[in-house]
Parts: sequence; structure tokens; C-alpha cells
Amino acid sequence: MLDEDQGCAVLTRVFNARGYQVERDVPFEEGTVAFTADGWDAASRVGFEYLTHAAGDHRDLTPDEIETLAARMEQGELFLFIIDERQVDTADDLEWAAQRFLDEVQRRRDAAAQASS
Amino acid sequence: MSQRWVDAQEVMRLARAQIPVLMAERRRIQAASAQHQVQLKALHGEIYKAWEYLATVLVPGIVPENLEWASRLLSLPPIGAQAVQAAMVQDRDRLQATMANLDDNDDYVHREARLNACSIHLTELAESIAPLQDALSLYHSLPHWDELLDSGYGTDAYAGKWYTLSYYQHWKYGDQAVAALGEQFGVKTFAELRARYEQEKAAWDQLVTSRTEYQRQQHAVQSAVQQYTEAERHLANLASRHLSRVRGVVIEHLSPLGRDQLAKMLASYETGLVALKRLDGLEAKYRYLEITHQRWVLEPAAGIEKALRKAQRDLVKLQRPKHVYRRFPSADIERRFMDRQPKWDKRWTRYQDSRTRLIGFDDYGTYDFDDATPWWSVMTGDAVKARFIPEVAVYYEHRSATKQHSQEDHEQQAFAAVASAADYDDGRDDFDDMS
Repeated sequence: MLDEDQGCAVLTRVFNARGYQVERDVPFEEGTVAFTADGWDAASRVGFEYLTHAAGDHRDLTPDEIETLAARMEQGELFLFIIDERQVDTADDLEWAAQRFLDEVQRRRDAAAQASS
Repeated sequence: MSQRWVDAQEVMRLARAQIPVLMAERRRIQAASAQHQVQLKALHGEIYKAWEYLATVLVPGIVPENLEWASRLLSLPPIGAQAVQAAMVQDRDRLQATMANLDDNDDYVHREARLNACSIHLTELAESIAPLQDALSLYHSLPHWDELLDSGYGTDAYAGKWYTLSYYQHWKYGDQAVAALGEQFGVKTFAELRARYEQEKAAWDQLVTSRTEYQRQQHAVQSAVQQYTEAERHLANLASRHLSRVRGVVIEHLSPLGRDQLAKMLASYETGLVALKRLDGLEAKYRYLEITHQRWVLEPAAGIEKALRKAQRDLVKLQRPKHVYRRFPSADIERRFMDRQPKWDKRWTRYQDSRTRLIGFDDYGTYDFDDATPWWSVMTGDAVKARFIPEVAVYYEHRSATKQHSQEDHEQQAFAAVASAADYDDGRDDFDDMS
């Protein structure tokens, strides 16, 4: 089981290897959504967020905020990989999932570009 | 007069020597306690049998004459002939009704055919269920299989979101499942694998439902057969069961009554009186064994334990440097370490002698309910004095007072002479001050 720090390190490495410039603990405040993203590339609008269950952790997203972000992701406005810390088994699994997520981001962006051209 | 002193080394030597003596006494106490429990258990069984025997002589049979006589003698209407006869008729009618109902019950009427059919079906079902069970076990042995099923993965109902980790995990687990079983089952996607599983699971569910139904039918038939057999047996034993019940009512009625009251009730019935004497004697014997064990074994045991603890504690304490030059009054030490073996032996002799006499006693017929002499005196011949038993103390006091006021009474004189000759001591219990 990976803890949040270990998981974020894996994700930062994978995202950066795919060409993103991810920074850690970036304040995100857009519309009704305000939280500190565990990893965020402000230019590409791609990042990740670890949902923790520790008591008193106020940085996490609320269900309403996740719903708002999900709608914006479906529109292609931003892409945030959401990880429930209880579901992370190994670094390999996390890396595999992150690669597939970034593949999907790329696919969606390509499709949007084709549609607009 | 100057006081004499004993040094710590001497106290330690005495304590060291005392410990094995105390341990040996402790073992003797433990052995006596174990034997006591065995004897009590045996006696408890004898008392139970004595009650049964008393009830048997009071109600020898279920015939009306016996019942009417016992009912009047014991002032117990529920065991009168009419009441018992009514209870038997009611019981018989109930049992016959049960059997008649079962004779109309399809499960009972066709019991053999149904049991055979159930047995055949259950065997066939077991043969069909086994391979499906093995196949289902294969699926369930896959990691996260249940999670994939619960999430709906591989169906249109799957609600996983592409931006969450769990979505990709289900993807990976699904691929692993197909890699593990796909070739064996001829499927290429998780949806196909899942469909195959659900098909096999549905077949398994259907077979298990059938099995449950046949098991229920089998149980219903077996239950009907058992009910019929029991009713038949109870009907065949109707008289003996009610005789046992009546005797039970008699015992329940007599148990709380005082033995003197019972003796008066049975005064005109010699056989009943003899049975009562045996019962009363056995109960007294049980009581005496408990009281003497408490007095002559358990109470001294506490003193032995206390002395042992003190000796062992002193051995540790007096080895410390600050106690090396400590001295103790000689008189105290002599009193503490005096040889108590003779006193213990005397107590054990008293204990064993009284027990031998109590347990060996079997002449219950000699007891007289009208005489004040307690069972203790009858059983032991007063060879061992036990004033700590309340009824014995009362008897001795009464006898002593009578003796003082009736010096001319020859019978009392003779009694006293016999008792005196048999006494081992002055009758006081003076043992075991170990402190």
C-alpha cells in the first residue's frame, strides 16, 4: 500500500515523463471549486489529486466539487486524475493506471482538435 | 527473669525445616478433599435412588387401588385414581390424534416412495452441482473477481469514471481475469467471461434451489416418521410413563416436608417408614460428611497455607543484610515452630474414623423418629464427638442436663458410660492455630 507522498512521487514522475510540467501542492480556485491540487500543470491544465481519509484533512475535494470538475473534464476544459488512497496497491499499478489516464487525455484532446478543424 | 533470644539464622533454619512438613500436610488435605468429592457424588446417587424407592413403595402400581390409597395417605389429590385416569385418557387421545393426523398426511402415507425419490434426486443434484461448483471456484479464486462483479464491469451498467484510479484498476483486473481463464473457456473479453460466469452461476443457483427443496421435503417426511414413531412408543408406554410421572409428583410433594412430618404421615405404613429412614439417614450422612470435611479439613487447610506463606516469606526476608543481626524472642519462635504433627494426626484420626463409620453405616432401620438421638450418634456410636454439628450439640446438652437432674436414671447412666468409654478426647476441637 502506497501512502500519499509515495503515490504523488510516482505520479509526478509519470506525468513529467509524458511531457507535462507538474508542480506539487498547487492552489486551484475556479468558480465554486477551491482546493490544493497534489499535482498540477497550470499550462496544460492536467494534474492529479489524492483523496485522503485522514481526519482533519481539509485539502480534499468535496463530492460537489468533484461533480463540477467531472462536468468540466467531460467538456475537455481540464483533466484531473482522481485517486482514492485506499485503492492504491502498488507503485506499478498506479503507474499503469496513470499512463492509461494520460492516453485518454491525449485521445480526448486529439478528438477535440479534429472536431474543431 | 531475663528473656532468651533466637537469631535470624536459627529462624531461617527452622522455617526451612518446617516447609516440607507443611507441604506434606497440604498434600494430605488435597487428597482428602478429592476423596471427599468422590464420596459425596456416590452418596448423591444413593439419595436419588432412595427417593425413587420411597416413591415406588408409596405408589407400587398405576392401578386405582394403589393410587387412591397413596393419595389419601399423602393428602395428595392429583395422584388420585380419577385424576390420573383423566390425565392418561387425555394423553392417549392426544397421541392417537397425532397418529391419525399423520395417517392422513401425504408425507407420512407415501414416506418410503418420497424418501427414495428425494434420495435419488439429491444424489443426481450432487453430481450436477459438483462440476459447476468447481468452475465457480475458479472464477472466485481470481483476484478482485467479486469487486469486478459488484462494480458491473463488463456490462452496460458499469459506472466507472475514466478520470478515477478505480476505472483503470477494473480495466487491469478484468484483463488479468481474461488472461487467466479466457483460453480455457474460449472467451476473449471480460464481458464474455462475465456472461459465461453468470450463466454457470444461474445454473448452479437453480440446482442449489432444487437441492434445498428436496432437502426440505426429505426433512418433512423424516419429521413425520419420527413423530409417528414417538407417538407409537409413548402410547405403548402410556402406563409406565404415567406411573413415573405420579412418582415424580410424589417426590416433589414430599421433598419440602420435614422428615418428622413425613414420619408421622407414614407411621401406619411400615414399608414406607423403612424407606423414609433410609432416605433420611442418607441425607444426614451427606450433611455430616460436608460439615466434618469443612471443620476438620478445609478450616485447618487455611492455617497450613498461612504458615507456608509466612515461612517462605521469612526465608526471603531474613536473608537481607539489614536482618542478619535481628533477634527474636525465644518463646515466640518455639510457639511458632512447635511440632504440630501429633495434633494433626489426632485430627486426621478423628476425621477418618468418623468417615469410616458414616460411610460404612447401613443399618437405617434401627433409627427411631420418636427418639431425640441424632443420626450422628446412631451412625458413629458417639465414638467421635462433633459438637460443631448443631443437632449433635443440642443432643449432648440435653443429655448432659438430663444426666445431672436424673442421676438415678439407669438408662442414661448406661448410655453415658458407653459414650464415655468410646471418647477419644475431651470433645473439644483444639487444632490448628498455625498463626
